[in-house]
Amino acid sequence: MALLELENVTVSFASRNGQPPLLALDGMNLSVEQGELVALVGPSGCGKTTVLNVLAGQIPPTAGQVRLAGQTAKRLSPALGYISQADTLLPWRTVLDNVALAMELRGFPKDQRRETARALMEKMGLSGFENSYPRELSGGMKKRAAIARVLAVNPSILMMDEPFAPLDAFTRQRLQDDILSVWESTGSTILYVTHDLTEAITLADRVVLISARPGRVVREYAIDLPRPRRVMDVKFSPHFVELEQTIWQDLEAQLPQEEGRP
Amino acid sequence: MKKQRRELSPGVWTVLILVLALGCWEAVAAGGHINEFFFSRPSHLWQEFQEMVASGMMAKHLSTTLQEAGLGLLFGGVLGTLAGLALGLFPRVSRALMPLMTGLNGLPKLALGPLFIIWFGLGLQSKVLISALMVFFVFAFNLYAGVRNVDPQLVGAVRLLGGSRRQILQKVLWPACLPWVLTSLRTGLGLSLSGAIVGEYLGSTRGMGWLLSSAGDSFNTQRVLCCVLVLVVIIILLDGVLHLVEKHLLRWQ
Repeated sequence: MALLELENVTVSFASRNGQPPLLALDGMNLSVEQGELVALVGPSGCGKTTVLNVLAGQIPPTAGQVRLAGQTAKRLSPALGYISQADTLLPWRTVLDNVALAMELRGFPKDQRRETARALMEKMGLSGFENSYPRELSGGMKKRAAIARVLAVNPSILMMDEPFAPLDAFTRQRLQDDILSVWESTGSTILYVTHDLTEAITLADRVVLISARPGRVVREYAIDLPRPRRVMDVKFSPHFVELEQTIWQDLEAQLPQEEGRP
Repeated sequence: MKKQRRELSPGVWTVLILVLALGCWEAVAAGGHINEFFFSRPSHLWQEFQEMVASGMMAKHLSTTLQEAGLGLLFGGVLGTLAGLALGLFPRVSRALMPLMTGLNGLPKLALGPLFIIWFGLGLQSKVLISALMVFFVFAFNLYAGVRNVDPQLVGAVRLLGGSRRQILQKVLWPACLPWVLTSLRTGLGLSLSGAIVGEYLGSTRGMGWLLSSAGDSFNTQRVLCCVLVLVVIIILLDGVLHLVEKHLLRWQ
């Protein structure tokens, strides 16, 4: 049984001013197995983020079923961890207290919070910044702290929405390596949304191509690059280039249609 | 290499300017260029101050005024904060009340003073009310702006981490609004004091406002100026304390 399932999910947003409702997802089918790292790729505005929001229970599907471990998902499940591209560390909290926030919200005792947060910070290369405030960190470090904050409550599914989009290429690559090692060491399930095809192929077991709006699954591609992966090793392998070419061709077919659609 | 220019701290500047101004004043008065009956002179003010302290007059009137202003700041601040939070959190409340609030705020609130004296008498109550009214709007409007300026992405992120409504209020909205509370406190400090003093001016039996009014009535410029200077120094000191509190609480900025 799949851990995460979307069955014929349609989402339409009511629009004001008497315009027809906006169809964001149109009969979307997706299933993610336990421990899989799946990347959703598609042109911008294709509803990738809507998929995550539906899964997180933030947007109810207009039609269709969303199942989390076999059960219909209605509200936000504590099993989900969500990481977006925005910088959402609380600026008035030290990094340590930020990393401990999710645990604090769930009522963990203080000692345990601090201990777990410290250990995670060390793992994410943030040691020594426990008592710093977010403004004192670089973009990449803030992102690591945000990831640590979510990992602290052991989510069984990590949903990442273009998490590294605003960062520079070098920082991004290092964080991608971090994600790979976190995923390899924890065995958690990751659903990763990106418009960066290279990033998707580098990380994922499976790349799911989403069509221009309204979003549907166009095709899925198994990424059979060897594990464990390191970004630098994978990037220049001939098979990587092959995969990228194949998916690009299909992705390109999605691009011009974007304009002409009603 | 560039030479680093040393900046004087605001405290040093304040003292420097005060000393300079008082020095000029004293010199001009000593030279007989101004009429001491109307303008007095710093050395006489100092004498007056010492006498007032020695007779217990200063303590009696100053403590009355500070108590009124303090209570006014407390009540006005707390109620204004609550009102501002409610206005910011519930769009329906702000739609219904904002025009009214803006209208009331536009009123010269001190002009309502006589009414409060009639309603609540010559004692503490009426002064606290005037003072609270002055402060209330500052807090209410600032907190309203504060709530509306909270980054919705922070709220969304904490909700996705599993935060309840109450937790979001406690851990996101309130800390995000704290700078606005502190700003209001610093603005409110002066306003609460003027509220109390004007209230005393309008009708009272004690307090700095009463002292100013009775000294003025008997052309005792020396005492008037002495009281004014004392009030200025007190406001500067209290504001300095608040500034330190602010610096500590907002060290994350």
